[in-house]
Amino acid sequence: MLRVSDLHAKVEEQEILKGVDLEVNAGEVHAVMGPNGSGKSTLAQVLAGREDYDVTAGSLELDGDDLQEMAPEERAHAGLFLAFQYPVEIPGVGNSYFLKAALNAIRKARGEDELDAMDFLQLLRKRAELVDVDEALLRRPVNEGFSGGEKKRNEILQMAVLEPRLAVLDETDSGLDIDALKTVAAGVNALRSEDRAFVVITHYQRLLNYIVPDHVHVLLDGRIVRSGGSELALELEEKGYTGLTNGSSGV
Amino acid sequence: MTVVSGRSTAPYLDLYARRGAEPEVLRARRQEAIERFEAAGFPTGRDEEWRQTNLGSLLRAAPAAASRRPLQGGEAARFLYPDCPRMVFMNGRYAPEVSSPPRQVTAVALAEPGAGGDTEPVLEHLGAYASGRASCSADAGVHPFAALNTGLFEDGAAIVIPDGAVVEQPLQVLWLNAPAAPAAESGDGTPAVEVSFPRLLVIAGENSQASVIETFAAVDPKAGGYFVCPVSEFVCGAGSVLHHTRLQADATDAFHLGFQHAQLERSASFDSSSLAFGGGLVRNDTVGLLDGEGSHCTLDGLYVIDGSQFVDNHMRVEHRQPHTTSHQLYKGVLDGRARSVFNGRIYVHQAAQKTDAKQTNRNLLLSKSALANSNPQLEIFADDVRCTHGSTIGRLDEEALFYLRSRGIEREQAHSMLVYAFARELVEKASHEPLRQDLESRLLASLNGGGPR
Ligand SMILES: Nc1ncnc2c1ncn2[C@@H]1O[C@H](COP(=O)(O)OP(=O)(O)OP(=O)(O)O)[C@@H](O)[C@H]1O
Ligand SMILES: [Mg+2]
Repeated sequence: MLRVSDLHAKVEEQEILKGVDLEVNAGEVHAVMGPNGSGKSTLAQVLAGREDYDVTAGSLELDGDDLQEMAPEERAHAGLFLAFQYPVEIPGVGNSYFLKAALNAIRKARGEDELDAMDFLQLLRKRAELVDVDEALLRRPVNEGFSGGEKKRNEILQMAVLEPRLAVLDETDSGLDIDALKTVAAGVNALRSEDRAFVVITHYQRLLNYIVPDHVHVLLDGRIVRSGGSELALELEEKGYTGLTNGSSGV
Repeated sequence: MTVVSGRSTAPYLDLYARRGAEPEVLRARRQEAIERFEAAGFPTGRDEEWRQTNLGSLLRAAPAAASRRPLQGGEAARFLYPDCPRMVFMNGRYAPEVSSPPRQVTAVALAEPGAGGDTEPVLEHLGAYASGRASCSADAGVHPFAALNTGLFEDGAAIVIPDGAVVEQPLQVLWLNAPAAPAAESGDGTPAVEVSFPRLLVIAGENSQASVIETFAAVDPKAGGYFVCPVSEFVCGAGSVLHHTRLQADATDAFHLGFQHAQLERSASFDSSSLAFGGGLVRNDTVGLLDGEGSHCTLDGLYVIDGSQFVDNHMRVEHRQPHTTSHQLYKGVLDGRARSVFNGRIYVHQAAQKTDAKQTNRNLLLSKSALANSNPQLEIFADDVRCTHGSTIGRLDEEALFYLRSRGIEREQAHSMLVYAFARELVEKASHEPLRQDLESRLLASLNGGGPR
């Protein structure tokens, strides 16, 4: 489904990704871990198509299509979703209005009928219940004044509504209390299926107890230096990243 | 032949000399105003209040009185709100055939004031405030366009709301313009411009409540430019509540230089929203005079401009009595090479203790060549007051744009969503539903490059 090969990317003239290889197949959950500043969010943002991040070498493919040729919205139409590490506040744009616009834009791009207000509301209520998002948040402007945890839940709500085929979750577990963590995991697990895949960026093994990954990767200084099964996360929890160097790739 | 600079007042004085008959009481005020105008002349770039307003293109054109033209069927309809009593003016002249003045109040056309009932208060107040000076303060200079209007208006609307009356439906005053096509040239090749002088006087009686909607528009926005020079005076009696909306959707090559004056008595409240979508060279001077203890005025505005449009809002709020409050929120959305000026002055007189004044101007620039100027000013001569002001000039939030697009929303739509979000509070505050919908759709249309319609 997703194939990232030898990806190099610059931010503000500084090379952050220095040759990332990652292959994600339908049905799989991949966890990406790594210390602060190692490039995890950069990878996520590059996947979503952020324009001020410069891909200088390598390739990104989704279902064989070159992602670099696609605008951010086209990537979303193709089924890509990024839950932002820092969800953006958008004053003046109502949350549910925004979600409806997004869902209908995606449906339209796919040649499906747009949902009318009633049908959308019904869907939204169901999904909000699934990820335990208070209805009051739906009426407020997107993320504006939301608590850290509410913002993360709102990301998961968007995912649940948009039903992407490939969801990249960038530290969606950070700042969540244990109950919130469980609901987020429930949201992901509810979507898990044969034809969907997830890339879960996290610092904590904790989340991986609820969303059990098929593969775990360690990103260090812009490269994936180690990959393994879910047991790798436990090992990292114990030993930290210090034992890992660029040379010890164990793919 | 030596060209007397384009700033000559002569052609306007000539219009004055040729004006028609008028009530005696008006004659003195007109004479005084036109003398002020003549003495001061048109402002130049050296005039502090006009430094950022380039009048060159207007003053190069030779003014001609707007043509008399009947309204043709349906021309006014798309600007009217169905439920509202209305007074419609075409090129500054009352068009009774499409008007349906309100019953509950006195509403008269100034050209025939006798036709609509008791006109004594009209004549008492007409021109008493916007007399050609920039404000009622002794130190205020001449406002040349207010002076011109006072000297030259041919017609207009006077609305007198009786004491204690509560008028449910907003009253709409529609100022339509349709220059005679094609724009003529005067003898020596200078461009000619048709000019009209809309004049509105609203007198809100004590403890009355009413809403007035003014709409400025072109019958055909593509039919060429014109010069509209309106003055509106609001006299808000003690305890009255007056809402005012000013929708300016003139042709984009029109000149619009207006003056508004609100006079507030004890505990009166005046809430005005000025929404500018049209006009090429636009300047609006608004004076709020808080002349009664406990009075409040809100002067809000929005300008959404593109191309080479220029919009200048000059605000002056004077707190003359204790416990007066004023709020101003002006927002601008500028695209293309559009330019805006916001000049807000809050003036707190020594007697005006416990004044609470707030002024905000926020601008959103959508292009590299758009330019917004913002000059908030406070002049405070009382010591126990709360005054805040602030202005911002910013661009669209790229992070927000990316966030929306990452959810599948097309770039263009994401763009308009964000601009709409910026401006919406100013259109959504309109409480009359058809007005609000109209403002919303105008805002959306101008965001999608539709321009004024
Ligand atoms: N806009 C930017 N301008 C300059 N440097 C940036 C920018 N964005 C990211 N960086 C730098 O790129 C590096 C990688 O950042 P990134 O956000 O990808 O790290 P991360 O692995 O997600 O870290 P964390 O675990 O703290 O979220 C950091 O050194 C960061 O300072
Ligand atoms: Mg990060």
